Amino acid sequence: MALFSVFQTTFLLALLSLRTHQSEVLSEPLPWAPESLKVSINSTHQCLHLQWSVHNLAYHQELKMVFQIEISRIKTSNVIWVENYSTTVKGNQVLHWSWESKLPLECAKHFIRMRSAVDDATTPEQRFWSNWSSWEEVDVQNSLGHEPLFVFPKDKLVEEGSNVTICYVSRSQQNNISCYLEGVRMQGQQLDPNVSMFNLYDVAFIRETGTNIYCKVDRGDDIKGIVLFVSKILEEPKDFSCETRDFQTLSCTWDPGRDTGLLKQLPQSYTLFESFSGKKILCKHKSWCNWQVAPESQEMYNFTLTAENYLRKRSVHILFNLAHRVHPMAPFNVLFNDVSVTNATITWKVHSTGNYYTLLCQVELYGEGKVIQHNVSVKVNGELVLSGLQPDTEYSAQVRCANANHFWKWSEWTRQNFTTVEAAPSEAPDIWRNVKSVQGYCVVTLFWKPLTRLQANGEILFYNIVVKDLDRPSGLQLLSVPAPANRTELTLDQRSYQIHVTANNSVGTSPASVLVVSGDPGDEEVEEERVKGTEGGFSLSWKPQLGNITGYVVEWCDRPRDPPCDLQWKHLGPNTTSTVISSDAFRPGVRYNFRIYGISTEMVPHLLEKKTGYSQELAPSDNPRVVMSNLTSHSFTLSWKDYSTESQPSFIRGYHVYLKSKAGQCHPGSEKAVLSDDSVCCKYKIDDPKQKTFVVGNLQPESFYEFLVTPYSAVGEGPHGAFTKVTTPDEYSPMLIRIILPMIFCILLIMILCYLKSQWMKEKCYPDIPDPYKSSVLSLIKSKENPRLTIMNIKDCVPDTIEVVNKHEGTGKSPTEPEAAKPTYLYLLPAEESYSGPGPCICFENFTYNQAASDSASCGHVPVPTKAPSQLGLLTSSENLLTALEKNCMNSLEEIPAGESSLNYVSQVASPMSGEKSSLPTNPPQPELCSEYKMQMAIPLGLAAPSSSGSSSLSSITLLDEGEHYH
Amino acid sequence: MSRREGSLEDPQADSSISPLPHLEAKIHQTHSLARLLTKYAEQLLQEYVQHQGDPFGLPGFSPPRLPVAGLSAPAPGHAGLPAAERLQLDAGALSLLPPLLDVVRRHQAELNPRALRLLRRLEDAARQARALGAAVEAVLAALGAETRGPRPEPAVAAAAAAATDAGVFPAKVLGLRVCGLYREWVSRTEGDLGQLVPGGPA
Repeated sequence: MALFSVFQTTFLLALLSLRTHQSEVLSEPLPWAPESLKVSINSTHQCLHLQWSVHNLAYHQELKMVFQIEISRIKTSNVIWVENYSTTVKGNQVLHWSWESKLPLECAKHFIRMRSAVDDATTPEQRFWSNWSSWEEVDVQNSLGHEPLFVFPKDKLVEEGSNVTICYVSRSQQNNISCYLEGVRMQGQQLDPNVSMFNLYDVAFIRETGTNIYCKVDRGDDIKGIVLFVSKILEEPKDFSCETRDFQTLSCTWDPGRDTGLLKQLPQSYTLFESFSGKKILCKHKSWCNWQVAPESQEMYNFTLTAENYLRKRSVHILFNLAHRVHPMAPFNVLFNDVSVTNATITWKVHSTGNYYTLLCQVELYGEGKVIQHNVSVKVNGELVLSGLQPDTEYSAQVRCANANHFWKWSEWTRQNFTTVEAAPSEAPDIWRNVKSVQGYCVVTLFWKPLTRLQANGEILFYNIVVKDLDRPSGLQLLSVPAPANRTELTLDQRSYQIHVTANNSVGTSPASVLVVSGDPGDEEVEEERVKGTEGGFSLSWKPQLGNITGYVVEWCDRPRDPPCDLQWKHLGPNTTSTVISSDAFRPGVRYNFRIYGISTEMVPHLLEKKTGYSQELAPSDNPRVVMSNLTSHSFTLSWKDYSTESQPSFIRGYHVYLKSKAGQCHPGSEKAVLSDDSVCCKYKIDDPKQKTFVVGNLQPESFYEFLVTPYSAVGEGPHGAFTKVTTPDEYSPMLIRIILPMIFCILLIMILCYLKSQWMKEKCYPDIPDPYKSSVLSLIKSKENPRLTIMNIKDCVPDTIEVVNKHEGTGKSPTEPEAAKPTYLYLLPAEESYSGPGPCICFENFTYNQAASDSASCGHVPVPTKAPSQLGLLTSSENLLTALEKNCMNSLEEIPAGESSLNYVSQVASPMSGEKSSLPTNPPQPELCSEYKMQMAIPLGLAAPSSSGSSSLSSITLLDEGEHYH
Repeated sequence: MSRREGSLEDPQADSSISPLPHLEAKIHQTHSLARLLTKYAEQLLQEYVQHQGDPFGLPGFSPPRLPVAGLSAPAPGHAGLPAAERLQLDAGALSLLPPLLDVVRRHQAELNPRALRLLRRLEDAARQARALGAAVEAVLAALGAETRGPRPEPAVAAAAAAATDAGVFPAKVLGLRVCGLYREWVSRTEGDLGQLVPGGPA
């Protein structure tokens, strides 16, 4: 037990002794340990700069060492960075090392310490770390001043996409501080009560004047801010190349790429370094730089172009042989010599590039729409003969050159123009004719096509035309038409003529075109065929002609609807029997007519075939104007005679007649059709385009119909425009018209005849002076077979008095008043008291005569005596007449208007019958000679019915009107 | 008001060649110039704010209205001062503004060289402030009031330039402040002259 205690004590002492020795060894500074460590800061770059020296390193000694550097933030235990810095140390050397802090150094205290170790193979025994140096404290906050608020870092410059840490330092813990990025509040992290930091990740370029960040005290108006300048990343120069044009200067160019955005804050520079010569120049421009070629004929060049700004550096390299980067200057003094009709010589000069280089020059000749290229090797002067040119043609030639041995770049083009000399036209003009017969003459319009430039060989000045009468060889007609005319008109008689046409320019005459115009073209006997055109044109073919044919001509008009129709023609060879006629002038819906002529060896054209067709048929655009006729109750006729099928946009194949009716039933010969407006109607189809009338039958009388006639072709029918309305008449109207019209006509005829023969009729039927021989009374008398009764001859009657009856109209007086009717007697004979002479003795009124104007009083105006005179007894014996008389008078009175004056013709014999007769001469002459006529005397109606019997009274009332009614 | 009217009468009393129309014309002319420059000053401020970015264009951003090189905004009691005194203050402020505007222009030329219109407006504003200040001094002279001698411009410029050295953000704030002061003083001058114009606001 004691032994164990002694052993334990000894072990502890030994251990203590060892620890003591060790501590003694460690407390001694090791050789080559870092010493004199000093720390400084660079706030702008947020850098800590360390500088130190190595202890006990001999002046001449050189040692490879490792320095371990440890950095803590806020407190020493918070180590944020450890780095081993290896370097070769010389004696008495002051070592430097920098460290950039992501957090602004003003935001927190930093502590730095380091230790060293030898990292050299010559001293392997020293490969252990020295002691740590003491902590060096960096506290910038103490030197900030007394302002209440600070924001760091100040105006930092970073690249786009960087991460940036910002902090503020407040002098008062009471302040509540907010920080904003471009006006937007940021969320931060508190480092200590006075300091907060904000991390910005992947910052972006906003504007050239920077990103504004500021902090403010919530309860104050103090604002502190910084501007963060964010730059776009500097790009590597692109397309860097150098070349020389004169072996004196190298011109280097490149594409600098996009702008960094910070023109002033972050300027960038470009430097050019040539490694073989070791020369370096700072380029004044950002995309090109000139380098002076060394006079000692340096062949190889190795250039490094470096683009650099504060944040980044970019470099590109090129290595080249100067002779391979030759860009010749443009040729000069380009000239044309010996220019002829088809040849020219071009010469040019090149800038000297030394005698060792051969240039390859390229000559391009532009003319007639073609480009011809020639390559020529040139030392100093170039020359090339251009052949195969066209006369009177303007050409353009251009020349460029390049290094023949090591092609790099072509020079710029040098261009010159020239024109070849004119020559006589090489081709005869293409001619054709149009012949019209006018008043026994042939009017020939001669057409020709202008020669192309290749054919004309110069400017055509005029055309010569020679007209030769084939029947009279001596008959020649010469004509000259100045260009650019392309036609002329000739008036010839009905003989055959040969026409020569030549084109002339300033140098000469073209070959002649010959054509014979015959008096009888004989074109009318050819039938027309239809052809189908396409977008590419009309494919025409014809039967080959037997015999001597020198060729064919196809003739057509480009604008057949517009005169002049723009006549076109196409010459074809004798073995050709088909061709395609195409023209830009062809339009859809236009009918084109083609005539195919065969040209005989005598150059006489004969019409072979006629073709007609459309390049594209279109549906008919308009409907015919239809005239309706023969409208009956069951049918009507439609007619469109003036509709021209020739001028339609397609071949008319027929017509459709649409008929709408209320019944909606279609009769045989028609079919139902539904129109675009969904209305249903009957459709009649006419297959013959020449049929331009149509009878619409099977109609209903007194019915309403609508019809439409529209043409149709292979591509459709005409527009369904407005229908024409029609209403059929009733069934009997025509029949009635056939009866009534003749009847009306007959009646009218009779009336006219009656009017024309009224006098005759009057005399025949109711003469003014009745003919007693024709009187019905006579027949009555005769029927009584009274032979004593005879008819007085008027010639035997001498009138002596005319009774004029004045009747007052509308007096209102009673007809009973005696003044109502006072007959006045005009004595035609002298009123002698003793009448002794012979003469007519009586006048009479004929009651059988009825005349409206004068006879109205025949009955009514007969003076009615208040008492029946005794003379009336003469008539009593003939009472059987009363009935007939009464009838006549009644008829007369019915037609007599009341109250009219009348002139009564009164027999002197009968005059005493009237009461008023008392005023007459008391002794009227007694006509003895005519006593027998008293039997023929007019009998006053009043006297005829003197009795008071009812029948007589009725007769009296009937005879007299109210105004002259006697009671 | 009576003081203003008295001031108008004094030159008339001293002059034998009817100076009143001349004074009125001068006041009217200067007032017109001030009114025109007020409009330009507003345009300058807008242009300046537009180029600085947020928060300078935001309505809630209001940096402290501290004096710049001794120049403050017109005091609230400015309107209550006698006319001549007001015009003297106006003239004094207008004489301080050109070097400040020049400092701002130089800073913007460094910061924002491509904003040519802003730079031209700043340059024009400095020149126009000088012209308006001289015109106000002339009115003061015509009124018979004393004119204060102009402050040495280099001193003002140095004071302002020192402010810009503190950083880009303070320089931007300084520019904002200078443009604001320019607008306020030109506007104040327009108002003060407007009261002197016959028929103007009382």
